[in-house]
Amino acid sequence: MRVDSSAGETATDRVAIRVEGLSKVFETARGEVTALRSTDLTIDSGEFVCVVGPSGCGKTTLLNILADLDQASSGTIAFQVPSADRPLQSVVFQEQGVFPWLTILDNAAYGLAMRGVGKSKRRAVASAVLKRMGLGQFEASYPDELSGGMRQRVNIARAFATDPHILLMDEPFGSLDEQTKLLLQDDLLGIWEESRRTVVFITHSIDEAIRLADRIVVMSARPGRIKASLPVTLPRPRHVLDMSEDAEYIRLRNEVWELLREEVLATREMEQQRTAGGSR
Amino acid sequence: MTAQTTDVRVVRRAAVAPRRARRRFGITRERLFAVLSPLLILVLWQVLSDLGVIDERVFSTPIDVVRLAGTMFAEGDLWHDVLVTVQRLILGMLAGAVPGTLLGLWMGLSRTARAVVDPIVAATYPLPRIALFPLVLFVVGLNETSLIVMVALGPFFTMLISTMTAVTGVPKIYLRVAKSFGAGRLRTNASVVLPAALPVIMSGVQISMGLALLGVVSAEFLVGQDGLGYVIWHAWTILSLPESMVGLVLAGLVGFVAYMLVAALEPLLMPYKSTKRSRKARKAALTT
Repeated sequence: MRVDSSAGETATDRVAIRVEGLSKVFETARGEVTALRSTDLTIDSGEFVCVVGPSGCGKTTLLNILADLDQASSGTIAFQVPSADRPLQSVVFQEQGVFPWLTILDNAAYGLAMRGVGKSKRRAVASAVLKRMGLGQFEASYPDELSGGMRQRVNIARAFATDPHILLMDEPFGSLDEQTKLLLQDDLLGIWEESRRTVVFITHSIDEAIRLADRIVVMSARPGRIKASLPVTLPRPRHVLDMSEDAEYIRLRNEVWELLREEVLATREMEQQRTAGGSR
Repeated sequence: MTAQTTDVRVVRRAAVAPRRARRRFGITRERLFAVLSPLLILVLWQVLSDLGVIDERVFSTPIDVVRLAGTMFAEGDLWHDVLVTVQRLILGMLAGAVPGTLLGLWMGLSRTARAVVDPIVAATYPLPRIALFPLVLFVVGLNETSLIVMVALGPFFTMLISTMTAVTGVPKIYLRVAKSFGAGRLRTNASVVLPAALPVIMSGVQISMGLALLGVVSAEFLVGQDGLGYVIWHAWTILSLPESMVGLVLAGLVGFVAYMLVAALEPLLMPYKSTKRSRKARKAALTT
Protein backbone atom coordinates (compact mmCIF):
# COMPACT_ATOMS: atom_id res chain seq x y z
CA MET A 1 0.00 0.00 0.00
CA ARG A 2 1.23 3.45 -0.91
CA VAL A 3 0.23 6.80 0.54
CA ASP A 4 1.16 9.97 -1.28
CA SER A 5 0.52 13.33 0.17
CA SER A 6 1.15 16.32 -1.97
CA ALA A 7 -0.13 19.86 -1.95
CA GLY A 8 0.04 20.27 -5.74
CA GLU A 9 -3.17 20.47 -7.74
CA THR A 10 -2.98 18.59 -11.01
CA ALA A 11 -5.56 16.51 -12.81
CA THR A 12 -4.47 13.27 -11.12
CA ASP A 13 -4.79 14.85 -7.67
CA ARG A 14 -8.50 14.34 -8.00
CA VAL A 15 -7.99 10.64 -7.45
CA ALA A 16 -8.09 9.60 -3.78
CA ILE A 17 -7.96 5.81 -4.04
CA ARG A 18 -6.58 3.78 -6.92
CA VAL A 19 -7.03 0.01 -6.70
CA GLU A 20 -5.21 -2.04 -9.32
CA GLY A 21 -5.37 -5.78 -9.94
CA LEU A 22 -6.45 -6.50 -6.40
CA SER A 23 -7.02 -10.17 -5.54
CA LYS A 24 -7.75 -11.96 -2.33
CA VAL A 25 -7.54 -15.70 -1.82
CA PHE A 26 -8.61 -17.21 1.49
CA GLU A 27 -7.23 -20.51 2.70
CA THR A 28 -10.06 -22.56 4.15
CA ALA A 29 -10.43 -26.13 5.32
CA ARG A 30 -12.14 -26.93 2.01
CA GLY A 31 -9.37 -25.42 -0.08
CA GLU A 32 -8.73 -22.01 -1.52
CA VAL A 33 -11.56 -19.54 -1.99
CA THR A 34 -11.05 -16.57 -4.26
CA ALA A 35 -12.99 -13.68 -2.74
CA LEU A 36 -11.72 -10.99 -5.10
CA ARG A 37 -10.22 -11.40 -8.55
CA SER A 38 -8.14 -8.71 -10.26
CA THR A 39 -10.30 -5.82 -9.14
CA ASP A 40 -9.64 -2.34 -10.49
CA LEU A 41 -11.33 0.68 -8.96
CA THR A 42 -10.60 4.39 -8.94
CA ILE A 43 -12.31 6.71 -6.48
CA ASP A 44 -12.09 10.47 -6.72
CA SER A 45 -11.43 12.75 -3.83
CA GLY A 46 -14.71 13.80 -2.21
CA GLU A 47 -16.65 11.12 -4.03
CA PHE A 48 -19.35 9.07 -2.28
CA VAL A 49 -19.17 5.57 -3.72
CA CYS A 50 -21.57 2.78 -2.80
CA VAL A 51 -20.54 -0.80 -3.51
CA VAL A 52 -23.42 -3.23 -4.02
CA GLY A 53 -23.27 -6.93 -4.77
CA PRO A 54 -24.76 -10.30 -3.84
CA SER A 55 -23.84 -11.64 -0.42
CA GLY A 56 -20.45 -13.28 -0.35
CA CYS A 57 -19.24 -11.35 -3.40
CA GLY A 58 -16.22 -9.98 -1.60
CA LYS A 59 -17.42 -6.43 -1.01
CA THR A 60 -16.61 -6.59 2.68
CA THR A 61 -13.24 -8.13 1.81
CA LEU A 62 -12.57 -5.14 -0.43
CA LEU A 63 -13.43 -2.76 2.38
CA ASN A 64 -11.30 -4.66 4.89
CA ILE A 65 -8.32 -4.42 2.57
CA LEU A 66 -8.94 -0.69 2.05
CA ALA A 67 -9.15 -0.31 5.84
CA ASP A 68 -5.89 -2.21 6.27
CA LEU A 69 -7.71 -4.78 8.41
CA ASP A 70 -6.82 -7.49 5.93
CA GLN A 71 -4.00 -8.01 3.43
CA ALA A 72 -4.49 -8.46 -0.29
CA SER A 73 -3.05 -11.56 -1.97
CA SER A 74 -1.90 -9.50 -4.93
CA GLY A 75 -2.41 -6.09 -6.48
CA THR A 76 -1.87 -2.55 -5.22
CA ILE A 77 -3.83 0.16 -3.49
CA ALA A 78 -2.59 3.73 -3.72
CA PHE A 79 -4.06 6.50 -1.60
CA GLN A 80 -3.48 10.11 -2.45
CA VAL A 81 -4.45 12.68 0.12
CA PRO A 82 -3.72 16.42 0.33
CA SER A 83 -2.05 16.37 3.74
CA ALA A 84 -0.64 13.90 6.20
CA ASP A 85 -1.68 15.71 9.38
CA ARG A 86 -5.11 14.08 9.43
CA PRO A 87 -5.72 10.34 9.60
CA LEU A 88 -6.02 8.59 6.26
CA GLN A 89 -9.24 6.77 7.05
CA SER A 90 -11.81 5.75 9.63
CA VAL A 91 -14.19 2.83 9.52
CA VAL A 92 -17.86 2.90 10.46
CA PHE A 93 -18.66 -0.60 11.66
CA GLN A 94 -22.00 -2.23 12.31
CA GLU A 95 -23.68 -1.28 15.54
CA GLN A 96 -22.01 -4.04 17.62
CA GLY A 97 -18.77 -2.12 17.11
CA VAL A 98 -19.67 0.38 19.85
CA PHE A 99 -17.90 -0.38 23.14
CA PRO A 100 -20.42 -1.14 25.91
CA TRP A 101 -18.00 -0.15 28.71
CA LEU A 102 -17.46 3.41 27.50
CA THR A 103 -19.91 6.28 27.76
CA ILE A 104 -21.26 7.68 24.52
CA LEU A 105 -18.84 10.59 24.80
CA ASP A 106 -15.80 8.35 25.30
CA ASN A 107 -16.94 6.04 22.52
CA ALA A 108 -17.08 8.97 20.12
CA ALA A 109 -13.67 10.15 21.36
CA TYR A 110 -12.04 6.70 21.06
CA GLY A 111 -10.43 7.25 17.67
CA LEU A 112 -8.91 10.52 18.89
CA ALA A 113 -7.66 8.81 22.05
CA MET A 114 -5.85 6.24 19.92
CA ARG A 115 -4.22 9.12 18.05
CA GLY A 116 -2.91 10.47 21.33
CA VAL A 117 -5.21 13.49 21.59
CA GLY A 118 -5.51 14.75 25.18
CA LYS A 119 -8.63 14.05 27.19
CA SER A 120 -10.20 17.50 27.30
CA LYS A 121 -9.42 18.23 23.66
CA ARG A 122 -10.83 14.94 22.38
CA ARG A 123 -13.91 15.18 24.53
CA ALA A 124 -14.61 18.65 23.20
CA VAL A 125 -14.31 17.45 19.60
CA ALA A 126 -16.40 14.32 20.25
CA SER A 127 -19.02 16.37 22.04
CA ALA A 128 -19.42 18.67 19.05
CA VAL A 129 -19.83 15.73 16.66
CA LEU A 130 -22.33 14.06 18.97
CA LYS A 131 -24.37 17.25 19.11
CA ARG A 132 -24.30 17.33 15.32
CA MET A 133 -25.68 13.76 15.33
CA GLY A 134 -28.43 14.68 17.77
CA LEU A 135 -26.90 12.79 20.68
CA GLY A 136 -25.86 15.78 22.77
CA GLN A 137 -27.96 14.86 25.77
CA PHE A 138 -26.73 11.25 25.87
CA GLU A 139 -23.01 11.90 26.33
CA ALA A 140 -23.01 10.37 29.80
CA SER A 141 -25.15 7.35 28.85
CA TYR A 142 -23.83 3.91 28.05
CA PRO A 143 -24.56 2.16 24.73
CA ASP A 144 -26.84 -0.43 26.34
CA GLU A 145 -29.20 2.36 27.27
CA LEU A 146 -29.58 3.48 23.66
CA SER A 147 -31.61 2.14 20.75
CA GLY A 148 -29.87 0.45 17.82
CA GLY A 149 -30.25 3.53 15.66
CA MET A 150 -28.68 5.77 18.28
CA ARG A 151 -25.81 3.34 18.78
CA GLN A 152 -25.17 3.48 15.07
CA ARG A 153 -25.02 7.27 15.23
CA VAL A 154 -22.35 6.90 17.91
CA ASN A 155 -20.43 4.73 15.47
CA ILE A 156 -20.67 7.38 12.77
CA ALA A 157 -19.72 10.12 15.22
CA ARG A 158 -16.63 8.12 16.27
CA ALA A 159 -15.47 7.88 12.66
CA PHE A 160 -16.16 11.54 11.85
CA ALA A 161 -14.52 12.78 15.06
CA THR A 162 -11.04 11.89 13.83
CA ASP A 163 -11.71 13.96 10.68
CA PRO A 164 -10.20 11.42 8.28
CA HIS A 165 -9.63 11.90 4.56
CA ILE A 166 -11.55 8.75 3.73
CA LEU A 167 -14.54 7.12 5.42
CA LEU A 168 -15.07 3.40 4.98
CA MET A 169 -18.49 2.05 5.90
CA ASP A 170 -19.31 -1.63 6.10
CA GLU A 171 -23.08 -2.04 5.83
CA PRO A 172 -23.51 0.33 8.76
CA PHE A 173 -27.31 0.34 8.61
CA GLY A 174 -27.72 -3.34 7.74
CA SER A 175 -29.26 -4.40 11.03
CA LEU A 176 -31.58 -1.43 11.53
CA ASP A 177 -35.30 -1.27 10.85
CA GLU A 178 -36.46 0.53 7.73
CA GLN A 179 -37.64 3.77 9.35
CA THR A 180 -34.50 4.16 11.44
CA LYS A 181 -32.43 3.43 8.34
CA LEU A 182 -34.07 6.29 6.42
CA LEU A 183 -33.46 8.74 9.25
CA LEU A 184 -29.84 7.71 9.59
CA GLN A 185 -29.24 7.98 5.86
CA ASP A 186 -30.50 11.55 6.09
CA ASP A 187 -28.24 12.23 9.07
CA LEU A 188 -25.27 10.76 7.26
CA LEU A 189 -25.95 12.84 4.14
CA GLY A 190 -26.25 15.93 6.33
CA ILE A 191 -22.94 15.50 8.12
CA TRP A 192 -21.24 14.40 4.90
CA GLU A 193 -22.42 17.48 2.94
CA GLU A 194 -20.54 19.65 5.44
CA SER A 195 -17.13 18.11 4.79
CA ARG A 196 -17.47 16.10 1.55
CA ARG A 197 -14.99 13.45 2.51
CA THR A 198 -14.30 10.52 0.23
CA VAL A 199 -16.65 7.68 1.22
CA VAL A 200 -16.69 4.00 0.34
CA PHE A 201 -19.98 2.57 1.55
CA ILE A 202 -20.75 -1.14 1.35
CA THR A 203 -24.42 -2.09 1.21
CA HIS A 204 -26.75 -4.74 -0.13
CA SER A 205 -29.61 -2.27 -0.50
CA ILE A 206 -30.08 -0.76 -3.96
CA ASP A 207 -32.26 2.04 -2.58
CA GLU A 208 -29.67 2.95 0.02
CA ALA A 209 -26.97 3.08 -2.65
CA ILE A 210 -29.01 5.39 -4.93
CA ARG A 211 -29.99 7.71 -2.09
CA LEU A 212 -26.45 8.16 -0.87
CA ALA A 213 -23.99 7.71 -3.71
CA ASP A 214 -22.39 9.78 -6.41
CA ARG A 215 -21.54 6.51 -8.07
CA ILE A 216 -22.69 2.93 -7.62
CA VAL A 217 -20.22 0.12 -8.14
CA VAL A 218 -21.86 -3.23 -8.83
CA MET A 219 -19.85 -6.31 -7.99
CA SER A 220 -20.23 -9.76 -9.51
CA ALA A 221 -20.85 -13.02 -7.69
CA ARG A 222 -17.79 -14.74 -6.21
CA PRO A 223 -15.04 -14.42 -7.18
CA GLY A 224 -15.84 -10.74 -6.96
CA ARG A 225 -14.84 -8.20 -9.54
CA ILE A 226 -16.29 -4.87 -10.58
CA LYS A 227 -19.13 -5.51 -12.99
CA ALA A 228 -20.39 -1.99 -13.60
CA SER A 229 -19.96 1.55 -12.39
CA LEU A 230 -23.00 3.83 -12.64
CA PRO A 231 -23.02 7.55 -11.88
CA VAL A 232 -25.95 8.82 -9.82
CA THR A 233 -26.90 12.23 -11.14
CA LEU A 234 -29.61 13.06 -8.61
CA PRO A 235 -29.04 16.61 -7.36
CA ARG A 236 -27.59 17.35 -3.95
CA PRO A 237 -28.27 18.20 -1.20
CA ARG A 238 -30.53 15.18 -1.09
CA HIS A 239 -33.23 14.24 1.32
CA VAL A 240 -33.96 10.56 1.34
CA LEU A 241 -37.73 10.88 1.55
CA ASP A 242 -38.16 13.19 -1.47
CA MET A 243 -36.35 10.96 -3.92
CA SER A 244 -38.27 7.76 -4.43
CA GLU A 245 -40.75 9.31 -6.92
CA ASP A 246 -38.01 10.78 -9.09
CA ALA A 247 -37.88 9.33 -12.64
CA GLU A 248 -34.10 9.12 -12.57
CA TYR A 249 -34.30 7.27 -9.25
CA ILE A 250 -36.68 4.69 -10.72
CA ARG A 251 -34.61 4.29 -13.89
CA LEU A 252 -31.43 3.69 -11.85
CA ARG A 253 -33.16 1.31 -9.53
CA ASN A 254 -34.21 -0.86 -12.47
CA GLU A 255 -30.80 -0.68 -14.07
CA VAL A 256 -28.94 -1.70 -10.91
CA TRP A 257 -31.42 -4.47 -10.22
CA GLU A 258 -31.01 -5.85 -13.76
CA LEU A 259 -27.25 -5.93 -13.24
CA LEU A 260 -27.55 -7.50 -9.81
CA ARG A 261 -30.21 -10.06 -10.67
CA GLU A 262 -27.89 -12.29 -12.71
CA GLU A 263 -25.29 -12.16 -9.97
CA VAL A 264 -27.76 -13.01 -7.22
CA LEU A 265 -29.01 -15.94 -9.30
CA ALA A 266 -25.43 -17.07 -9.94
CA THR A 267 -24.72 -16.91 -6.21
CA ARG A 268 -27.81 -18.96 -5.48
CA GLU A 269 -26.80 -21.60 -8.00
CA MET A 270 -23.30 -21.75 -6.50
CA GLU A 271 -24.75 -22.26 -3.05
CA GLN A 272 -27.08 -24.99 -4.24
CA GLN A 273 -24.21 -26.80 -5.92
CA ARG A 274 -22.11 -26.54 -2.80
CA THR A 275 -24.91 -27.86 -0.62
CA ALA A 276 -25.52 -30.75 -3.02
CA GLY A 277 -21.79 -31.49 -3.18
CA GLY A 278 -21.55 -31.40 0.59
CA SER A 279 -24.37 -33.88 1.16
CA ARG A 280 -22.98 -36.43 -1.23
CA MET B 1 -85.11 -10.07 9.72
CA THR B 2 -83.39 -7.77 12.05
CA ALA B 3 -79.71 -7.80 12.44
CA GLN B 4 -78.71 -8.52 15.94
CA THR B 5 -75.59 -6.92 17.22
CA THR B 6 -73.88 -7.63 20.42
CA ASP B 7 -71.48 -5.24 21.94
CA VAL B 8 -68.52 -6.91 23.44
CA ARG B 9 -66.41 -4.65 25.48
CA VAL B 10 -63.03 -5.73 26.58
CA VAL B 11 -61.26 -3.50 28.97
CA ARG B 12 -57.78 -4.29 30.12
CA ARG B 13 -56.24 -2.34 32.84
CA ALA B 14 -52.57 -2.10 33.43
CA ALA B 15 -52.09 -4.66 36.15
CA VAL B 16 -48.56 -3.81 37.07
CA ALA B 17 -47.38 -0.53 38.42
CA PRO B 18 -44.39 0.87 36.57
CA ARG B 19 -41.31 -0.73 37.98
CA ARG B 20 -39.20 1.49 40.08
CA ALA B 21 -35.57 1.81 39.18
CA ARG B 22 -33.01 0.09 41.35
CA ARG B 23 -31.40 2.53 43.66
CA ARG B 24 -27.79 2.57 44.58
CA PHE B 25 -28.56 2.51 48.26
CA GLY B 26 -31.78 1.69 50.02
CA ILE B 27 -33.93 -1.38 50.09
CA THR B 28 -34.31 -3.42 46.95
CA ARG B 29 -35.84 -6.85 46.51
CA GLU B 30 -32.38 -8.43 46.25
CA ARG B 31 -31.09 -6.77 49.38
CA LEU B 32 -34.23 -7.53 51.35
CA PHE B 33 -34.06 -11.25 50.59
CA ALA B 34 -30.32 -11.42 51.19
CA VAL B 35 -31.27 -10.93 54.84
CA LEU B 36 -34.77 -12.40 54.88
CA SER B 37 -34.06 -15.78 53.29
CA PRO B 38 -31.41 -16.90 55.80
CA LEU B 39 -33.52 -15.51 58.66
CA LEU B 40 -36.51 -17.50 57.48
CA ILE B 41 -34.50 -20.73 57.57
CA LEU B 42 -33.25 -19.91 61.08
CA VAL B 43 -36.77 -19.24 62.33
CA LEU B 44 -38.01 -22.47 60.75
CA TRP B 45 -35.12 -24.35 62.32
CA GLN B 46 -35.86 -22.87 65.75
CA VAL B 47 -39.56 -23.64 65.48
CA LEU B 48 -38.97 -27.20 64.30
CA SER B 49 -36.53 -27.75 67.19
CA ASP B 50 -39.02 -26.36 69.68
CA LEU B 51 -41.66 -28.67 68.26
CA GLY B 52 -39.25 -31.59 68.60
CA VAL B 53 -39.18 -32.38 64.87
CA ILE B 54 -35.43 -31.71 64.79
CA ASP B 55 -33.37 -33.54 67.38
CA GLU B 56 -31.76 -30.85 69.52
CA ARG B 57 -28.93 -33.18 70.49
CA VAL B 58 -27.73 -33.27 66.88
CA PHE B 59 -28.70 -29.82 65.59
CA SER B 60 -28.51 -27.23 68.32
CA THR B 61 -31.13 -24.57 67.93
CA PRO B 62 -30.08 -21.19 66.47
CA ILE B 63 -30.58 -19.57 69.85
CA ASP B 64 -28.28 -22.10 71.50
CA VAL B 65 -25.64 -21.56 68.84
CA VAL B 66 -25.73 -17.78 69.30
CA ARG B 67 -25.57 -18.17 73.08
CA LEU B 68 -22.63 -20.57 72.82
CA ALA B 69 -20.84 -18.29 70.35
CA GLY B 70 -21.22 -15.50 72.87
CA THR B 71 -19.50 -17.51 75.59
CA MET B 72 -16.79 -18.70 73.21
CA PHE B 73 -16.07 -15.13 72.12
CA ALA B 74 -16.03 -13.94 75.73
CA GLU B 75 -14.03 -16.74 77.28
CA GLY B 76 -12.16 -18.58 74.58
CA ASP B 77 -10.08 -17.40 71.65
CA LEU B 78 -12.82 -17.58 69.03
CA TRP B 79 -11.89 -14.08 67.88
CA HIS B 80 -8.42 -15.33 67.19
CA ASP B 81 -9.80 -18.21 65.11
CA VAL B 82 -12.04 -15.92 63.07
CA LEU B 83 -9.20 -13.48 62.37
CA VAL B 84 -6.74 -16.23 61.48
CA THR B 85 -9.20 -17.72 59.00
CA VAL B 86 -9.96 -14.33 57.45
CA GLN B 87 -6.24 -13.62 57.17
CA ARG B 88 -5.55 -16.96 55.48
CA LEU B 89 -8.48 -16.37 53.16
CA ILE B 90 -7.13 -12.99 52.06
CA LEU B 91 -3.52 -14.17 51.72
CA GLY B 92 -4.50 -17.36 49.90
CA MET B 93 -6.83 -15.47 47.62
CA LEU B 94 -4.12 -12.96 46.70
CA ALA B 95 -1.42 -15.63 46.34
CA GLY B 96 -3.66 -17.61 43.99
CA ALA B 97 -5.76 -15.11 42.10
CA VAL B 98 -3.02 -12.62 41.20
CA PRO B 99 -0.63 -15.05 39.48
CA GLY B 100 -3.60 -16.99 38.08
CA THR B 101 -5.03 -13.85 36.48
CA LEU B 102 -1.66 -12.80 35.07
CA LEU B 103 -0.93 -16.23 33.64
CA GLY B 104 -4.48 -16.38 32.26
CA LEU B 105 -4.01 -13.00 30.59
CA TRP B 106 -0.78 -14.13 29.02
CA MET B 107 -2.35 -17.36 27.80
CA GLY B 108 -5.37 -15.49 26.47
CA LEU B 109 -3.21 -13.06 24.52
CA SER B 110 -0.56 -15.42 23.21
CA ARG B 111 -1.32 -18.50 21.19
CA THR B 112 2.14 -19.86 21.93
CA ALA B 113 1.61 -19.46 25.66
CA ARG B 114 -1.69 -21.31 25.35
CA ALA B 115 -0.06 -24.13 23.43
CA VAL B 116 2.69 -24.51 26.04
CA VAL B 117 0.73 -24.09 29.27
CA ASP B 118 -2.66 -25.54 28.36
CA PRO B 119 -1.60 -29.23 28.55
CA ILE B 120 -0.07 -28.67 31.99
CA VAL B 121 -3.23 -26.99 33.23
CA ALA B 122 -5.40 -29.70 31.71
CA ALA B 123 -3.39 -32.35 33.59
CA THR B 124 -3.25 -30.62 36.99
CA TYR B 125 -6.54 -28.76 37.15
CA PRO B 126 -8.88 -31.74 37.52
CA LEU B 127 -6.88 -33.23 40.43
CA PRO B 128 -8.70 -32.88 43.74
CA ARG B 129 -6.79 -30.10 45.49
CA ILE B 130 -6.82 -31.96 48.78
CA ALA B 131 -4.90 -34.81 47.13
CA LEU B 132 -2.05 -32.38 46.45
CA PHE B 133 -1.73 -31.58 50.12
CA PRO B 134 0.87 -34.23 50.97
CA LEU B 135 2.97 -33.03 48.07
CA VAL B 136 2.66 -29.39 49.17
CA LEU B 137 3.57 -30.39 52.72
CA PHE B 138 6.59 -32.26 51.49
CA VAL B 139 7.82 -29.37 49.33
CA VAL B 140 6.91 -26.42 51.54
CA GLY B 141 6.94 -28.05 54.95
CA LEU B 142 4.35 -28.23 57.69
CA ASN B 143 3.90 -24.52 58.31
CA GLU B 144 1.68 -21.54 57.62
CA THR B 145 3.02 -21.19 54.07
CA SER B 146 1.87 -24.64 53.02
CA LEU B 147 -1.57 -23.76 54.33
CA ILE B 148 -1.66 -20.58 52.22
CA VAL B 149 -0.47 -22.55 49.18
CA MET B 150 -3.35 -24.99 49.67
CA VAL B 151 -5.82 -22.10 49.84
CA ALA B 152 -4.27 -20.46 46.79
CA LEU B 153 -4.61 -23.47 44.48
CA GLY B 154 -8.36 -23.09 43.93
CA PRO B 155 -8.30 -19.37 43.05
CA PHE B 156 -5.16 -19.88 40.96
CA PHE B 157 -6.68 -22.40 38.57
CA THR B 158 -10.07 -20.70 38.52
CA MET B 159 -8.63 -17.30 37.67
CA LEU B 160 -6.27 -18.79 35.12
CA ILE B 161 -9.05 -20.55 33.25
CA SER B 162 -11.66 -17.81 33.52
CA THR B 163 -9.24 -15.05 32.53
CA MET B 164 -8.00 -17.03 29.56
CA THR B 165 -11.57 -17.76 28.46
CA ALA B 166 -12.53 -14.12 28.97
CA VAL B 167 -9.65 -12.85 26.84
CA THR B 168 -10.06 -15.34 24.00
CA GLY B 169 -13.80 -14.65 24.02
CA VAL B 170 -13.51 -10.90 23.40
CA PRO B 171 -15.67 -10.22 20.30
CA LYS B 172 -13.47 -9.85 17.22
CA ILE B 173 -15.27 -6.70 16.11
CA TYR B 174 -13.87 -4.79 19.12
CA LEU B 175 -10.35 -5.73 18.06
CA ARG B 176 -11.08 -4.64 14.51
CA VAL B 177 -12.37 -1.28 15.73
CA ALA B 178 -9.18 -0.75 17.74
CA LYS B 179 -7.02 -1.73 14.80
CA SER B 180 -8.95 0.48 12.41
CA PHE B 181 -8.18 3.48 14.60
CA GLY B 182 -4.51 2.59 14.55
CA ALA B 183 -4.25 1.19 18.08
CA GLY B 184 -1.11 -0.86 18.59
CA ARG B 185 -0.98 -4.08 20.52
CA LEU B 186 -0.50 -2.55 23.94
CA ARG B 187 -3.19 0.07 23.44
CA THR B 188 -5.60 -2.52 22.08
CA ASN B 189 -5.06 -4.69 25.13
CA ALA B 190 -5.51 -1.82 27.55
CA SER B 191 -8.40 -0.07 25.84
CA VAL B 192 -10.37 -3.04 24.49
CA VAL B 193 -9.29 -6.50 25.65
CA LEU B 194 -9.21 -5.79 29.39
CA PRO B 195 -12.52 -3.94 29.69
CA ALA B 196 -14.25 -6.41 27.36
CA ALA B 197 -12.94 -9.37 29.39
CA LEU B 198 -13.64 -7.86 32.81
CA PRO B 199 -17.17 -9.21 33.39
CA VAL B 200 -16.03 -12.82 32.94
CA ILE B 201 -12.88 -12.20 34.99
CA MET B 202 -15.00 -10.79 37.83
CA SER B 203 -17.29 -13.80 37.90
CA GLY B 204 -14.08 -15.84 38.17
CA VAL B 205 -13.15 -13.79 41.25
CA GLN B 206 -16.57 -14.52 42.71
CA ILE B 207 -16.12 -18.28 42.26
CA SER B 208 -12.53 -18.10 43.50
CA MET B 209 -13.67 -16.53 46.75
CA GLY B 210 -15.87 -19.54 47.49
CA LEU B 211 -13.09 -21.95 46.58
CA ALA B 212 -10.61 -20.09 48.77
CA LEU B 213 -12.92 -20.40 51.77
CA LEU B 214 -13.36 -24.08 51.03
CA GLY B 215 -9.57 -24.34 50.88
CA VAL B 216 -9.04 -22.56 54.19
CA VAL B 217 -11.51 -24.71 56.09
CA SER B 218 -10.25 -28.00 54.65
CA ALA B 219 -6.60 -27.10 55.20
CA GLU B 220 -7.36 -26.11 58.78
CA PHE B 221 -9.11 -29.46 59.26
CA LEU B 222 -5.92 -31.20 58.34
CA VAL B 223 -3.09 -29.22 59.85
CA GLY B 224 -4.48 -26.20 61.59
CA GLN B 225 -3.67 -25.36 65.17
CA ASP B 226 -6.27 -22.62 64.99
CA GLY B 227 -8.87 -21.11 62.67
CA LEU B 228 -12.53 -21.85 62.11
CA GLY B 229 -11.79 -25.11 60.29
CA TYR B 230 -9.86 -26.23 63.32
CA VAL B 231 -12.75 -25.20 65.61
CA ILE B 232 -15.20 -27.25 63.56
CA TRP B 233 -12.96 -30.30 63.39
CA HIS B 234 -11.75 -30.13 66.99
CA ALA B 235 -15.32 -29.82 68.28
CA TRP B 236 -16.21 -32.91 66.29
CA THR B 237 -13.33 -34.91 67.77
CA ILE B 238 -14.51 -34.10 71.28
CA LEU B 239 -18.09 -34.73 70.15
CA SER B 240 -19.20 -31.20 70.92
CA LEU B 241 -21.62 -30.65 68.09
CA PRO B 242 -22.83 -27.21 69.27
CA GLU B 243 -19.28 -25.85 69.13
CA SER B 244 -18.90 -27.35 65.69
CA MET B 245 -22.08 -25.54 64.65
CA VAL B 246 -20.66 -22.24 65.91
CA GLY B 247 -17.60 -22.72 63.69
CA LEU B 248 -19.79 -23.66 60.75
CA VAL B 249 -22.05 -20.63 61.11
CA LEU B 250 -19.08 -18.27 61.47
CA ALA B 251 -17.38 -19.77 58.40
CA GLY B 252 -20.63 -19.20 56.53
CA LEU B 253 -20.70 -15.59 57.68
CA VAL B 254 -17.12 -15.01 56.57
CA GLY B 255 -18.02 -16.39 53.16
CA PHE B 256 -21.12 -14.23 52.96
CA VAL B 257 -19.18 -11.05 53.75
CA ALA B 258 -16.41 -11.96 51.29
CA TYR B 259 -18.96 -12.61 48.57
CA MET B 260 -20.71 -9.32 49.21
CA LEU B 261 -17.41 -7.43 49.13
CA VAL B 262 -16.59 -8.85 45.71
CA ALA B 263 -20.11 -8.04 44.54
CA ALA B 264 -19.63 -4.46 45.74
CA LEU B 265 -16.65 -4.13 43.38
CA GLU B 266 -18.85 -4.49 40.33
CA PRO B 267 -20.38 -0.99 40.25
CA LEU B 268 -16.89 0.45 40.76
CA LEU B 269 -15.20 -1.54 38.00
CA MET B 270 -18.12 -1.82 35.61
CA PRO B 271 -20.36 1.20 36.08
CA TYR B 272 -22.11 0.49 32.79
CA LYS B 273 -23.54 -2.72 34.24
CA SER B 274 -24.97 -1.33 37.42
CA THR B 275 -26.55 1.73 35.90
CA LYS B 276 -28.26 -0.30 33.24
CA ARG B 277 -31.41 -0.89 35.22
CA SER B 278 -31.73 2.51 36.75
CA ARG B 279 -31.64 4.04 33.28
CA LYS B 280 -33.87 1.48 31.66
CA ALA B 281 -36.91 3.68 32.05
CA ARG B 282 -35.15 6.40 30.11
CA LYS B 283 -34.20 3.96 27.40
CA ALA B 284 -37.78 2.76 27.09
CA ALA B 285 -38.87 6.30 26.45
CA LEU B 286 -36.41 6.65 23.61
CA THR B 287 -36.86 5.29 20.18
CA THR B 288 -34.87 6.81 17.39
